[in-house]
Amino acid sequence: MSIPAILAQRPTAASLLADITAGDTETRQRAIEQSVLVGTPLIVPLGRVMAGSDPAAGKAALEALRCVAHHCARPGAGAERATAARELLKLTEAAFPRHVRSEALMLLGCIGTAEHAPALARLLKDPQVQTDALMALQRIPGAAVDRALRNALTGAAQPLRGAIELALQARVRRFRRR
Amino acid sequence: MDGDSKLTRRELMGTAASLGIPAIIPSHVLGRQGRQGANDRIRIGVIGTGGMGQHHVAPDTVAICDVDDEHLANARRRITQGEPFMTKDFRRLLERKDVDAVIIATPDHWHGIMTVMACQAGKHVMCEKPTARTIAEGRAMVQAARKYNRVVQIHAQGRSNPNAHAACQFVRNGGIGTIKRVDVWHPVNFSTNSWGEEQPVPSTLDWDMWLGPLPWMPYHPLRCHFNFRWLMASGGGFIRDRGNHALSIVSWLTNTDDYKGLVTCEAKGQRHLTGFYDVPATMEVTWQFRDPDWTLTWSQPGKPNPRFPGDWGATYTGDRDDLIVLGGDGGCEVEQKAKEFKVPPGGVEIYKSPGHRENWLECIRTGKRPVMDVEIGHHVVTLCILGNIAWRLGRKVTFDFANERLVGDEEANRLIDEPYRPPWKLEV
Repeated sequence: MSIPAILAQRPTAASLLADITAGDTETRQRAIEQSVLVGTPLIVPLGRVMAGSDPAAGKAALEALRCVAHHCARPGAGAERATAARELLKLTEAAFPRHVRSEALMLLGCIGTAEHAPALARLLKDPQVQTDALMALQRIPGAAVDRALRNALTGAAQPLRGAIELALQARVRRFRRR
Repeated sequence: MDGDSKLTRRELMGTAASLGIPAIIPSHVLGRQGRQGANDRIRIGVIGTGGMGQHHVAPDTVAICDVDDEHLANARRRITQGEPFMTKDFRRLLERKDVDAVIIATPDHWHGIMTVMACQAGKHVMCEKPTARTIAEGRAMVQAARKYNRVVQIHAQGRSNPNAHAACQFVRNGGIGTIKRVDVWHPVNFSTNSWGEEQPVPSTLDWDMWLGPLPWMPYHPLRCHFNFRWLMASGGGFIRDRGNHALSIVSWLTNTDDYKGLVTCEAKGQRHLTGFYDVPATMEVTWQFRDPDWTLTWSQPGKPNPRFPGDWGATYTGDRDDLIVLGGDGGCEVEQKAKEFKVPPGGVEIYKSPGHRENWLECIRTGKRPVMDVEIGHHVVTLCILGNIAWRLGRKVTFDFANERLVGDEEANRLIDEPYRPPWKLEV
């Protein structure tokens, strides 16, 4: 097969989103697997599908989102990981429904870095996702995360204050093991 | 019970009721060096009395705990000797001085916290499989058992099954030669057509306590009792459930409970797209062990070996022969050649458990390690968890058993532990 022919077969963000949104189960399975070929440009559009009213499309989008995020954090992925984290942060905005924000935060806990700590810490003030944000911060290594959590203690009322203190303790145990 | 206020009353009544049962001299008074005496009754409490938990409730169980009143009521009917203490909060059960040991039969996400807290409270533990939800929880359970000198047995009871014992003696004595591969087959994970829309929490259930350390999720019966198995956050699918049984037998027969080398793990499987369950619908996992080199596979759906077919089982292939072992939980079958095998003089004699519960009680009295000690359970469930990690990440991972770290994969190492929803914590 010629290179142009191969390139012609390579999925695009638009083709994958169309398959995820309206395909049958087999088409969706294939689109999910191929989503890593397109990668980070899919993240926000997939979040929008998750936010939509079709649960089957939303589920396929969720699976694709997970595939893309984890793929972008593979060893040697380089800048892709940072790009993916930036895109996931967009899905944490209040314009998205809770289940999309929660999923994005769970994935940020897996692939986010200390540079995302301030943005995640700001979400501790959002009652809808503060626990998800706290759980994401627990996973991310780095002194900047500890600083962000300690800063968040200032002015935090209970029960959030206690939860942040617990998260700081959990981080000590988690990173002491390594 | 129908609510928190009544729970409090019931707990108070339970305390009083315990005075009504025949007087028992506390075991820790009679026993030596923190052990029960040979004739002392070991007073058992059961935490989690639905599902498998109901089978652990004996006529003389002294305390029961469940977050669902219906489970508690059913369990109460099984108790015919004395009035048990009943509670929805396991911490109240662990506080009691009239409980020597606990059986934990809750969903997986509670196993780590409850086992650690039970050891801290001085209780011996038998914890249902799977050992733990995460590798870090499994390690914490081992640390707690050792730090507080408690007997912690995992209820992967295949190691107390006579047929599994026969298989082990056969294989360990060279019955199939040097093992080259073990292939486990199992039916696929359950599926659903539901999308899990939030439903009212039943009045009998404390949903927040059921969730415990898990991220909050809306109540739906398909997320709760039994069905939690099909969500990655709570259940991990059959590979972490029956897999804990099947791979326990594999680890026993291959004599690799103490393996401290590297293992690679890769996994693939179809995603479940017709409902909200998120464990894979199908799953193929391959682990590669080194020095000696051998391969372990898990197939869902797997192909039963027509020579000795069964719903789930494993084919052990050596360089001279092979052996099929079916099941590996309470039910286990093995080909006749293993049953007929007699250990030759000077051969390897494997300890034969008198029964899983009996072995646990015996070890509480003697201080010996049980046949499915928590460290073995931790080792076995680590393999299961690695399968799920490899599937979630979509890439091969390499695990270093000596250091309990994934090699060269920073993201994968974040999955060794799961963050807890406050106020729960795991501290040994």
